[in-house]
Amino acid sequence: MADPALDNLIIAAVAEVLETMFFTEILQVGGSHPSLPALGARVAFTGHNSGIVSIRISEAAARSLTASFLGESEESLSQTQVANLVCELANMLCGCIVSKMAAHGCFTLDSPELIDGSTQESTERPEIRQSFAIERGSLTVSLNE
Amino acid sequence: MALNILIVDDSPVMRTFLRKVVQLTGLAVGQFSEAGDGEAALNLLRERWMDLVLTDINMPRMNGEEFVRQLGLDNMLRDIPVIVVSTDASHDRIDRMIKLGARGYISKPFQPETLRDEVERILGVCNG
Repeated sequence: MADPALDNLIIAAVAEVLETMFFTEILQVGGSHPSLPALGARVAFTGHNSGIVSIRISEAAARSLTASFLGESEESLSQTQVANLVCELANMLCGCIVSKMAAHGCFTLDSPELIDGSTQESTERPEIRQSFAIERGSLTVSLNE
Repeated sequence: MALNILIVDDSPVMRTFLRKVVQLTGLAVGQFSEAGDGEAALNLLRERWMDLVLTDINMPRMNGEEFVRQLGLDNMLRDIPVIVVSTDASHDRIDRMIKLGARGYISKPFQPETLRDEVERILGVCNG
């Protein structure tokens, strides 16, 4: 990791979002990239700092989070709902990370966009990348500034 | 008093989540309405009275900031209380939205109780 402070900031943001919005927690910090099948999304931010937050998450973990978020059974979920959830998760993580980076000063988030979750490496080399073991799979969060 | 609540967010799963959180808080809700952006929300508000609006900021077509500004310019709609629910927790953004006329601001992630407390504070009710 290039910057331990940013590394800790990502860990804090993931813990906060998972615990508050999804009633689940990080099982382990570190570990491997999400195994396939996986989904991905990214959100660009501009302001005092500018960059992109992208996530990749195991499909099974994404489905589990969607069920928890919506209070519905996994069997009843559509692929669209799961994809929307991955976008919203990226949105919340981006907002949480950027707010922690700059409590003062406005920033703007672009709309989340789905990306290929099967890609092991993004086209840009991320400055910070952290993987997490979570219920039913894993989640990787990358920050490019 | 049963509340008519408008939820404005471009994310369908977030709109569903907010509706379920409001239901969990025990607030008496008459009707939920939803809009995917500020422009659609303004059109809906001109047809139907709402007691409360929950709105995101980052949305296509008309974002939450412009939406709240437009509400403030409309004599018929300016008194409808608005709570912003956004991932943007920067102090500057919160100040800006409050100055534009938002009555409350909740940063995501948030606990369901936070939303209930904010609604009760703004509407001056102990609902449910």
